[in-house]
Amino acid sequence: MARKVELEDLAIDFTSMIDIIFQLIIFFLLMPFKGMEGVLDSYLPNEGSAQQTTKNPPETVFNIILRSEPAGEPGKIATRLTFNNVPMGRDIITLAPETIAQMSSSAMRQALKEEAKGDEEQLHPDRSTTFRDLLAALEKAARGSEKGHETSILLDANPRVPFKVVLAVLNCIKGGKYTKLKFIRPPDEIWKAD
Amino acid sequence: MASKRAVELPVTQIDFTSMIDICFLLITFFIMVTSVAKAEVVEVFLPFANNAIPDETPPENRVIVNVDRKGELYIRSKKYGKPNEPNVRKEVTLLLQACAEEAGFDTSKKEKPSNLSVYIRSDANAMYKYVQCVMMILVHENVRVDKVHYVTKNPTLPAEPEKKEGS
Repeated sequence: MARKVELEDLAIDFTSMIDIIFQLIIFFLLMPFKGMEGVLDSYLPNEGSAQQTTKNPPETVFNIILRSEPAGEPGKIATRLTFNNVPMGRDIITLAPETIAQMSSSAMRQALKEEAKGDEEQLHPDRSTTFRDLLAALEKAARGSEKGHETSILLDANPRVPFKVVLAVLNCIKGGKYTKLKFIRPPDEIWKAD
Repeated sequence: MASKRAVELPVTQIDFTSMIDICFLLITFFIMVTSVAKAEVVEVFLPFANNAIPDETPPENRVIVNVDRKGELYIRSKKYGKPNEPNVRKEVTLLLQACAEEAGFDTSKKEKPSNLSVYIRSDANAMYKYVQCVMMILVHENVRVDKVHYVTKNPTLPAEPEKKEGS
């Protein structure tokens, strides 16, 4: 009788450990392989043809031009979007990249939170008047062009434009079902050290 | 009667030892794999694009070029600095050339683009200038990448309620 009691004491209950192990396995299975980010694709010209395009552009192309200038408010810049030389909607007011780069991390976090709210209004293709205008203009231009949505779009953004504005334009072009996008060769000034 | 019960009890027990062995192997595997995958990721505030497609099957020959808000480049968990600094430009060109050669690019036959896939993972608030620098490096005759992917925020999450509002 005494021996039997001793044997039972030796057994370890693994149930809760197995529970935890399964939780961990499920967590690590799900976490890394979920598609957390999306991608926008575009083709780049090769170095030689990039120069040619700017010298003699093909007959029918649509132009999208982005120009950033200091805005009225300090530390902010205004970006104007023009499609085939017609300005679209309102200027997009964003924090200047230099301003963000100089901020301390706590001030930056707060500023970026506010900035994200502004971006929702200014950069979303359904909410922003600028991008609604662009989408309507793209659709109208496609109907008036022989090649329709196959017409090349020439994107000319100056180096000071925030990347998110350029990406919002790419997003709009993709949403407008256009398939051909060309980037203007940037000026050599971009290689100058800051 | 008491002796009969004592014999029956051990039969109902299951031996978990080997299952736990396998579970521990799986855990170790996933812990190691996730730490390697995370090393590629630099904290950047990604831009939003509702027309981006989820990247479910990433291509084999892929290089992620991270651009932070200051314009500094991080490639394969190494910090390089701003691409418009001459030494960084040279270093990154050489690195991408090596990647393109790894992906089967023959520098003697430059007319055919390399099949290296480059993901530009730039901060939303970075200046476009730095992305332009990266793109100019990508079209360098020794790299010859002709397709780039811009990484955006997960398009599946916020896009659905917003689409309803627009329609």
